[in-house]
Amino acid sequence: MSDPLLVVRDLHVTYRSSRGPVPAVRGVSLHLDRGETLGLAGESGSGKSSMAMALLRLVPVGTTITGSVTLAGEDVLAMKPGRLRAVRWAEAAVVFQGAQHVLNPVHRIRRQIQEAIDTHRGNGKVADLLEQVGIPRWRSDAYPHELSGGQKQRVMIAMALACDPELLIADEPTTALDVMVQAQVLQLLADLQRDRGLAMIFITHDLSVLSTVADRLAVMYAGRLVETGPAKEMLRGARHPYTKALAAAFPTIGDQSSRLAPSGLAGDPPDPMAVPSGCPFHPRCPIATEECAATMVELHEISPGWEAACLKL
Amino acid sequence: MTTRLVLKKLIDAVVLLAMVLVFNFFLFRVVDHDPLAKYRGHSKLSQAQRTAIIKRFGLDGSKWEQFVRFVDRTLHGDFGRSFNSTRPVVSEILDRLPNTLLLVGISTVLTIAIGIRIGIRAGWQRGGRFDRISTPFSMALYGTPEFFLGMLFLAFLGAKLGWFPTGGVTNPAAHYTGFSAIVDRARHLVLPVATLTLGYLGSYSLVMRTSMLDTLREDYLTTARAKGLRDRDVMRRHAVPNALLPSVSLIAIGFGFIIGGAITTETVFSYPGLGLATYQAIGNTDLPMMQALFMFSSVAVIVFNIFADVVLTFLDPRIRVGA
Repeated sequence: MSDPLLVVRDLHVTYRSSRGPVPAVRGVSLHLDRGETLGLAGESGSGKSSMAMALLRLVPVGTTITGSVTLAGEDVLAMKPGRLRAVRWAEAAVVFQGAQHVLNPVHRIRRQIQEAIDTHRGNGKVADLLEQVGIPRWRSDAYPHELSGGQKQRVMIAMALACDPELLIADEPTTALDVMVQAQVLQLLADLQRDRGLAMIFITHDLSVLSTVADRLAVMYAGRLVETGPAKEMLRGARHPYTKALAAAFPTIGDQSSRLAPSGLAGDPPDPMAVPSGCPFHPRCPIATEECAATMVELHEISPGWEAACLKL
Repeated sequence: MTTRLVLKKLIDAVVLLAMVLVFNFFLFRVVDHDPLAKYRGHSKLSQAQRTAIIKRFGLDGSKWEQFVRFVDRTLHGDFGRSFNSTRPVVSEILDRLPNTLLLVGISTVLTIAIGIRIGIRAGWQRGGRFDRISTPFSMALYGTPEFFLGMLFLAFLGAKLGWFPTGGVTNPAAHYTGFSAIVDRARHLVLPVATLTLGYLGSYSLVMRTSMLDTLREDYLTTARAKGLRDRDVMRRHAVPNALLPSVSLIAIGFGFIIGGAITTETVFSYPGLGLATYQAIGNTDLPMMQALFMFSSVAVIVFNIFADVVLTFLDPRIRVGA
């Protein structure tokens, strides 16, 4: 394999607010090969969406992004606006959470997909794209409100594929869908990813859905990565106490003991404006000691290709 | 779908008009003021003449008999005669209608064109230089009564500087023809149009700004940006069409109101339209004129509301299903 498709180094995303700067992402480094799927997990507010949106600089005015994002050899953070617009969707497209209002309610879906194609002078056909995601071509005249949540999510995926991108950023694409539809959409994404050789960043708070799609996992807490490693191994036996808690929060189907005793994690994720000292997870961590509150901990290799940020590992 | 919607709205409108009819009759009679006092007390009129006059104006018999007669006549298109001029009310209204339509038409188009644009720009760049200047300006205009604005114009641009005539629709002293007649007419329109336009500008731009701000929070704008659209296209194709929806209703209702309600502006500029007629009718307790004018503005508001509902079904596909 040649150079990685995406290299992120020491990424910081800081929002502006009336109370002062809000550091949502505080130094994330990761890389993604062509055709590889990275599952990015964490609670709401962990900075995972902020991190993903910053890859295409899709952030509110006044937000500062530092570090570097290299997509196919080009530094995204240094691009001029015109070049950035050309890269958006054509090289990296986003699958937003389709159940929400990510489609414009006053335009037919055909027009919204065609708009993406026209913007990048592509030659994709709307009807073909819809068929690939399992929507009959005659539905292209529909308005978003005439479609179900699952269908809207499929339209969103078809739209993301419109300009044949190399990277797909899927931001909670299965959240808010019922379980059956969730499984269908996951399967669709996995198939498309394999057939088209797409690289994908799959963002979710639900670790269990990642087993179907992800090659590697990265878990975020308080704007930093706390553990990253091969998906299968990590799902079988997470090492970082936060990942363990996140995995235990979802009961395993068929496992009576986990269903009867769902082990949630007490407390809330930290306020990004008041992140605890040392390891930011120490106030909620079952194995934390005094030294955890005092010592800042960085990601370090705990076994080949597997890194964690924990003093106990 | 649209036909059914219009039909339903028309039925609503008829019910509403019936209520307006009843309301109109009793509203003006709550004030116990005898509109024919000047005739009744007139010593030179004989008793027979007085009775004839009272009968002629439909004021004989009990309130209830008057009401039945009023409804019957109104349904037959007879709105009676003005107490003041004794001419049929309908001709009084038709004489003044073109003046009002010209004044209100021009100012409404200007208000919408300018107000909506200001609102779009201020909302799109919230907190930017344009917004910081235009929004306080809009609020000041919104808070200023039109008659006050009109009096300022009248005092400075009319009386003091003499740039524009201070009232009326034409210069009665001069007998212009052809192009100079049009110029004369236009010069008389400038101040009332400016007053009405500025008077309503603030509300349009503020509503449009707020609705832009609401739209800017929508997820589909992020989608549009992610697709690589230019800012201008994100605004034009995705933000504005959605943000316009609340303004359509406002425009329609406002249009209806202004037609019947340019009262203060027309009065300040002695502009002989329906507004001035309303003001005079109230001053003279001219019951038939008041009833007809109020009926007319009610019809205008109702008609423009139906119009807005129909336009909205074309702009917002979500409404079509629910109708």
